[in-house]
Amino acid sequence: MNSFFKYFHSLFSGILTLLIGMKTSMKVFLRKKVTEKYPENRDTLKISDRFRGTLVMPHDTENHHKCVACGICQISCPNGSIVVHFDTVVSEDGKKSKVLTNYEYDLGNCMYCQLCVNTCPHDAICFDNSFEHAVFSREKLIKKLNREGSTLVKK
Amino acid sequence: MDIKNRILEIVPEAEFSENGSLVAIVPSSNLYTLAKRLKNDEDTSFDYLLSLTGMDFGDSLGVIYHLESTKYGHMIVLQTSTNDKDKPELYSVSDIWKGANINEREAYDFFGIRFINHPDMRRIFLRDDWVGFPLRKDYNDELNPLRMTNEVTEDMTQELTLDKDGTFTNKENIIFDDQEYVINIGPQHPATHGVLRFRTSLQGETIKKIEPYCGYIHRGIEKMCESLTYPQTLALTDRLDYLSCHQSRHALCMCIEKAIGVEIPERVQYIRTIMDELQRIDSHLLFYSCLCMDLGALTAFFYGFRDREKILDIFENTTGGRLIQNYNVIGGVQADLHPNFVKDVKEFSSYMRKILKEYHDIFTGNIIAQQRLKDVGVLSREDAISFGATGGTGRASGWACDTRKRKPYGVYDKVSFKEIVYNEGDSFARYMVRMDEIVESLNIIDQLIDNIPEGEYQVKMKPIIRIPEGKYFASVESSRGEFGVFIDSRGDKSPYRMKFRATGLPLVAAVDTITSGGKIADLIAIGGTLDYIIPEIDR
Repeated sequence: MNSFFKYFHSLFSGILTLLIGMKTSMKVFLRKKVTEKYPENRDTLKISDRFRGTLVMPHDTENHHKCVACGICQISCPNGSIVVHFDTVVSEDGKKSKVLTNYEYDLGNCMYCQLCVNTCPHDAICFDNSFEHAVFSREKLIKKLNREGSTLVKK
Repeated sequence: MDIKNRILEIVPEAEFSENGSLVAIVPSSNLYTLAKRLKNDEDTSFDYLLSLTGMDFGDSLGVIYHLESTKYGHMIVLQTSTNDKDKPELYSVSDIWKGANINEREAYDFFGIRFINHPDMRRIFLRDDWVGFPLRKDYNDELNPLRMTNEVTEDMTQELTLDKDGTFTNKENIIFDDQEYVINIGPQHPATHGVLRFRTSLQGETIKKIEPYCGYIHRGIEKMCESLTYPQTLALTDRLDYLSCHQSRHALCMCIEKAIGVEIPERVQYIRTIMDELQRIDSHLLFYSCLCMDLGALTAFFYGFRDREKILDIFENTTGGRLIQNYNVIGGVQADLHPNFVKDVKEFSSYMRKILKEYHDIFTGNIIAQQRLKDVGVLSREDAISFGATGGTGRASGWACDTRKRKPYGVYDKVSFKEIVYNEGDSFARYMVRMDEIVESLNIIDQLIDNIPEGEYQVKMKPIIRIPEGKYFASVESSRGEFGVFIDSRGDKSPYRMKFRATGLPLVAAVDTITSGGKIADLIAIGGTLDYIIPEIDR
């Protein structure tokens, strides 16, 4: 008799737990949806300002950047995503200085550790919010960050 | 009791070095006797092998053992080495601590040290046809091009035994014999939570033996660290256990800060502690989701992910990352808290407390879940300690192994929280430990969030960080156990050797013990509740 009672007890208590679960899932079903419709919601999509999307070099309205081609970012990068190409220019009074020609950044190699931005002494580079990086070939991931014809900002 | 004198009593030849931490340097011939005495003697009882690190000292190869006693809480570091670099042989301690078995295989894989009397001396991460031993300093990388052939799985393994008359013999041990019915679970199986492969020998549907195969995503992070500067190594810790990246990074920062002797501002300590706890909730929510999905409860899976999203949003606002957060830096944190941080965390905390009831309603109480988890995959307390299975797994077996209580760091000594310990040791206990820990983490956060002191969020560091010569170790409670960082520095700007104590490796080693005699269907529940993360095991 005891085992008979036990059997039905566990059967009904088991069904009860399933009903409790069912009640919970119905309750949640009737709540407001939390999912987002990407990419339809691109205009309203909010991304944190600090989000690390792509490395960029900000230029002002006169096409000036702040990079002096010192190469500290290149040294601090753990996996060689940054290569700074520069020309050495000798000014009239005989001083040698570096002039940035191509700031090469391999997005496909970058691991977003932020060391380049942290160590840059002139705040010449920063991360922006863009995150849609998909392209069809690896070559397209290698970017030139300084714009065509841009020069160092005058102090 | 003075451990130093105790060691000298057993091994009079032992030397001590006190650079960073107290290390007892023991001749290799005496190590086994010493280890056995240290474990078995009542007043030392070092029953927990925290970490076993293979080392290349330059002119010799060796091993460093971090031992701890669960009874008294004291620690000691042993070091032994052999000068024979062509045929390095050391005595195995795998019969003293079960966790040493898999760690010695790792040391063999990376340094080529053969352990005498180790029953299974095979590579664990790398392929069997790998040439050379990559973590040796004289390793030549060009010997190993990308191989285009498949790796053959061997059913035999080597053992180097020492006979009573002092002769060494090579013995062949059988892993699986020809008559056994062996199936592969993984490397691409959703229930292994990553690329882990179990070779499972079955008798009907009963598991006879499980052999874990790791290394499918081995990246050699420890080797990479040796050529990176300290700030650069930080970026790799986020990629070990991606569900405890705050904690792992905290451990590495803590170890470096301890070594160079920087005082960390109170505000940073608070921020780090809160972030660690948020990360723990994040990880446990994902654990809940994945376990539910493994057992077929897909609805509950989405609940966990829905709420985890809220934590990720909080993370993203402050740290700029969702999975790879990159937040702790040496001497502080990357950026100050977002202005909305306190408000968001408070909202989340009160929301989470209410919603947890739903979690229990839909899954914990469910009759199917109960029957698939209760009394399934029991791990005894002794085995948990012997394997070094810390975290939720250890605490479910009745081992109070919480690093936050044993060795408080951050501001854990200023908050009151309960250490969740269950004694059953089964899958349900492992599940409940983590569910209860979510509440405890919320308690910790609630105590701290209103009291974050004002101040600096970062100490100005030198541009090039050098660690004084010595050996340093720091550990934190990550989301799934004690995560430790060991640094051997020679005073350079990059470490001579950096070792991460993986929380998942002991768990994988223990799978065979936990499952043996169980049913194959239970392997899914056991794997789910052990909650290992593969990138951290493989490193």
